[in-house]
Amino acid sequence: MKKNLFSLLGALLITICLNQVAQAFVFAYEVGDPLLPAGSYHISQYFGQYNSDFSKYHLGEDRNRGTCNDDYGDNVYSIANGTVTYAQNAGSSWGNVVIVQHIILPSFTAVNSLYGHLDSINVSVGQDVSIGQKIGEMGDADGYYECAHLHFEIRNNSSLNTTPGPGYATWSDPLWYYYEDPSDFISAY
Amino acid sequence: MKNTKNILEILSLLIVLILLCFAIFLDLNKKDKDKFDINNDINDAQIEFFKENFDDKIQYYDWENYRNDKYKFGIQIPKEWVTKEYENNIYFGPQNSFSGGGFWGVSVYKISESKKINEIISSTGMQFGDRKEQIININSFVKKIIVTTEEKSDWFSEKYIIYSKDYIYILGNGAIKNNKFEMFFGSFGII
Repeated sequence: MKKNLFSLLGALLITICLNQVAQAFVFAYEVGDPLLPAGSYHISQYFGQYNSDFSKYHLGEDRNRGTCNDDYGDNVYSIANGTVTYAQNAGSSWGNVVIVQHIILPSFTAVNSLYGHLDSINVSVGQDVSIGQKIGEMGDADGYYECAHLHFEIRNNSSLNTTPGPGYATWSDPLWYYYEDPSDFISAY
Repeated sequence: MKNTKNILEILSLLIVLILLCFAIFLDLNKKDKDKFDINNDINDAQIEFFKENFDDKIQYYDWENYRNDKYKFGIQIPKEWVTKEYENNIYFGPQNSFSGGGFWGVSVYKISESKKINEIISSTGMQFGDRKEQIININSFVKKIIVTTEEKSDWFSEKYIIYSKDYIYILGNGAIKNNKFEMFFGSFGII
């Protein structure tokens, strides 16, 4: 009887601990309303793609539905369970940005996902979010860009939990070690 | 006496429920009637297909031709614009618009995929709770769909749906009002 009670308490404790670190077993794409036809979103600027406006290479992926502002105001969802570490307007070419930290189990490694150029933010720093939870709406970084899109990054370094970063980098920049190809990363999980 | 009162209360509740259901049914029926039914429209479209030849179109000043042999169409775009092809979608716009998907686009579907058109139309502006859809039958093979919202006053989606013998083409303006989009549509032709 006593043994069973201890086992139950142990299981309860483990569950609470796991919830505390906002575990992530599964990652899903960050946009893609289930009501929309399949394949509605496409990548308009790939990870590592050269951008002549910045004369640098892209540290994330830009996601779009249709052309230009067709997707303005579309819901943006968290790619996995996690904790919001940044949620504010970062100014300049960033606009509203949300960063969510995810702890990958069972390895307990940490990554963070960044959602940029949002029209609005629906979460706040310190808030736990679930996979598929709405965190904001797509925008154009307060009009900085001609067309609305989601700038999406996956970073594997916790020093980037609270900073949007540069968004672009030269090939020789050591920052590349901290960035993952978002599509490849999500496919792996 | 108490039983009679209870029965009366239950009966009143039932009547209210029936009236409520009837009201909901009428509302749903109305919404269905308002909905664009592409499957009925495609029958009309099959009577006559868009046959205007791209090579017969007048060349606009400072615009250039884009030809797509795979999907058998041609269209004109402003000279400084670039093109990006992604599966059955072709995007057009200035270079700096491409991180946002380009300004205008042509999406191409086979005639057998006509059901998808309905989905595409209903998903246009679905992010806005107050979306308003207007369908204009330009003729039996071209339809214009305008979707607007009061939530974002400068968001204005115009789409032309063109039925040809082999394909259905959707020309989109990227939800930004631009008078030159009419020229873009006007330059569309079959090759």
